[in-house]
Parts: sequence; structure tokens; C-alpha cells
Amino acid sequence: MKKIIIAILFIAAANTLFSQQNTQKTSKVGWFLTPEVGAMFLESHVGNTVGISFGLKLWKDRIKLGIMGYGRSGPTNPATFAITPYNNQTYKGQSTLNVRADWGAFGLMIAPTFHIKKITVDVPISYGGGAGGFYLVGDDRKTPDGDRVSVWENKLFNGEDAAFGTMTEFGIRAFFPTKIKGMTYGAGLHYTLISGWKTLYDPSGDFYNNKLRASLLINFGS
Amino acid sequence: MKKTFRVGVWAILTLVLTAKLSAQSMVDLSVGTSHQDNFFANMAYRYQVSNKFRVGIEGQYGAAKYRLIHAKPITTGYATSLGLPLTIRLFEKEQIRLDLYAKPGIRFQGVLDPDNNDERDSVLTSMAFSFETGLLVTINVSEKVNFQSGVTFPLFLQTQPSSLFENVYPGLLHFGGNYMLSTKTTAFVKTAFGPAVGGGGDTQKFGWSLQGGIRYVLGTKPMPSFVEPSF
Repeated sequence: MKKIIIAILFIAAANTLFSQQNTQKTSKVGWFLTPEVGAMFLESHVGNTVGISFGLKLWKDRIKLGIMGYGRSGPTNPATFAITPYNNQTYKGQSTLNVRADWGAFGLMIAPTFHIKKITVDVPISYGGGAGGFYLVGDDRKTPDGDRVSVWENKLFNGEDAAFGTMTEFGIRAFFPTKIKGMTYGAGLHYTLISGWKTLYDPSGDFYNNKLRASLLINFGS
Repeated sequence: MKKTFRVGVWAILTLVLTAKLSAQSMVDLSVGTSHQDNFFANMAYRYQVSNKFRVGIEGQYGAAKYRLIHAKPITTGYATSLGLPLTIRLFEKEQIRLDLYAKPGIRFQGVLDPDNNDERDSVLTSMAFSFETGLLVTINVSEKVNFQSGVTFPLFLQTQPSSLFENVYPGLLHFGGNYMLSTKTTAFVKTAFGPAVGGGGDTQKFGWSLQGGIRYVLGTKPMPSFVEPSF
């Protein structure tokens, strides 16, 4: 009987705890979640990106610590790039192929944060990895033998159709208040360094390296 | 042994009873279109266990537009998925609320006449396990209107006919809005978009969806503002 009473009390207490509204609690640690759309200023064109950063606000909102990532996807970037297959191979009778590019980066972010009147400015420094490459597009994705496109891409580009690299990024972002508490909007400018990323199309690895990126942001947070 | 069993039964009954007191359940019905499906219909039952926890079951059927089986595209056929969404409210203050979202699931795809010889002499099917997790923000603009945003990270591990990470979304952005039509009914629209990777490069590269629907509350309590994402 004693066990039953203890079990009932324990479960009731746990359930009450879960149900409790603790909306008015204040915490020293805050949070942020910042979706973004952006533009990468590349050699021959401007790339469209979609990204996010999110994490914790520490030290009374003076530091943001979190994760950032963005992608420059092929379907949202119609630019094509002419490439000659490795060893002068041909594909469906073509000796030069027009391929699309895609790229994604993901990393840890630390951002010292300042408040100038009602404007919040942060300086995100990010470090992580990136991956991307060049891929066959349109009818070229229907392979002559019905095999996977990636098998053909590997063959045509000698396995150098895509690669991984290291990403370091420095930025500055400004956020402006809205009528809704907890929501701001803003813009940012970022300088991106990529190392170790090398493909057949771009053996120098400079396609995304040493480039500027701009972002438009909505920021949510405590 | 008998005593332990009795304790267990009492414990479960108490949990159900105390949970039921604060519980509320709701049904979501929605339709949409996406990069994968010409049309899809989604139905979900959700159970508000407490103010912080919600669990549910969600099913979706889609008419395929561009999907992958064994990393090769299919442009006809079907996709059916079943998921168990779970949300945990992490923060709520004034107009803003933050929820942690997770959904394990399973997905079946199939296409008749995969060799396009105009005869239904073969069927190509696939099975995949999925897992999606993320963070969702809800902003209450007024008593009747709120909008939502956030990010989820869905991934699909195909197990049949071959084993591979078919689609991984390294940041799917969500935007949506909800309008309370009555104390029991809410209309919602939601969209999701973001890059996709996986499948050794044979992936969809980018994903998006647009969806609209109705939520009906089975209970007498006020309408909870948070609507789960799906795509």
C-alpha cells in the first residue's frame, strides 16, 4: 500500500511539473534562431543561398554561440559552367558539358554582440566544413545505360566532380527592432575563406574561396 | 510479484488520469504540393499530454512528381509515410514561443511500370526510415492570428531496395501562419524550403513544399497556438 501511495504521489508530482506554466521565469541564458536568404558574390555570377543560424545567447546577450549553415543549391541557381570531361571523354556525343554547381557550408559560430541604441550588431565568426561540386543537368541526367548519374559524373570528371573543404567565415550583421518583442530583422555581410576544396572544373579551389556573401535575416529570440 | 503488478497498474492509471485532466487532442487535415509530389494529403492526430508535451501520429499520401528509388528518379507513382511527431515547448514569454520538434517515421514509395514499356508488368518499390528534428518559433500577432518559422533537419535512410542516405536536408526553413476560425477550428498555411544532399550526389538538390489545411480540436480547452511542420 505504501509503495502504491509513493508511486501515485511521484507520478502526480512529475505530471504536475510537466504541466506547470513557467512562462514568467527569466533566464541568464537566452536563445536565437535566425533564418536567412543570401547572395554569394562569385567570379562570374551571384549565387542564391538559403541558410540558418541558431544557438544560445550568453553573458547577458553579449555573446552568441551556435551553429550556422547555408546552401547554394543547383535548382535555385540556373547558372551553368562549361567543362571538358577528363581525358577528353565524350558524353552523349558532347565533348563539352554544361553543368550546374551546388554548395553547402556548416559550422560552429561565435558572435560578439553589441547594442547601439535600438540596433543590435553582431560579428559572427564561423568555422566548419563545406561541400559541393558540379553536376549534370536536364536531359544529361538521363544516362545512356540507365546507371546512376553519379556513376557517370565520377567517370567523366575522374572522381573530381565534388569535394569537401574547410570553411572559415567572418561577418557583421545588424538587426533592427519590430513591433513584436522577440523578433527583429536585419542584414549581414560575410567574408568566406575555403581551403582544401578542389574539383576538375576549378583545380585552384577559388570558386567559393576569398568571396563575399550578403544575407537578409529574420531573427527570433528571447 | 502480484504486489508489483498492482503498483504498476495503479501507477499507469494515475498517469493516464492526471495526464487526461490537462489533455487535449486535435486533428489536422491538409493538402499541398511539393518538389516531390504533384499533390499530397496529410492527416494527423495530436495529443496534448501536458502544457509542454505533445505527441501524435501523422500519415501522408503523395502522387509522385520527382522522387528517388535506389538514387534513380521516378516521375510517377506514390509515396506514403507514417510518422510519430513529438513536440516539447522549451520557452514561452509574451508573444513568442519556442518548441523542439522531432519525428521518427517510415516511408514507402512505389511506381508501376518502372521500365516505361506501357505495360504494368513490374513494380518498383522502396522503403526508408526517416528522422526529422528541429526548432520552431511561434509568434502570436493577435488572439486569432499567429505565424511560425524555424528550421528542421529531415533525413531519409533508404533500406530497400538498397541501403543509402537518400535525402538529407541540412536546414529546411519553415514559414507558416495560423488563423483561428472558431474556438475549435484553425486554418493554417505552411511552406518549407531548403537545400538537399545525399545519395552520392543523386539527390533532389533542393526541397520545397506548400501546404494548407484545417485543425479541429477535440475537447473544450482553448486552441493551442502551435502547429507542427510537415512537408
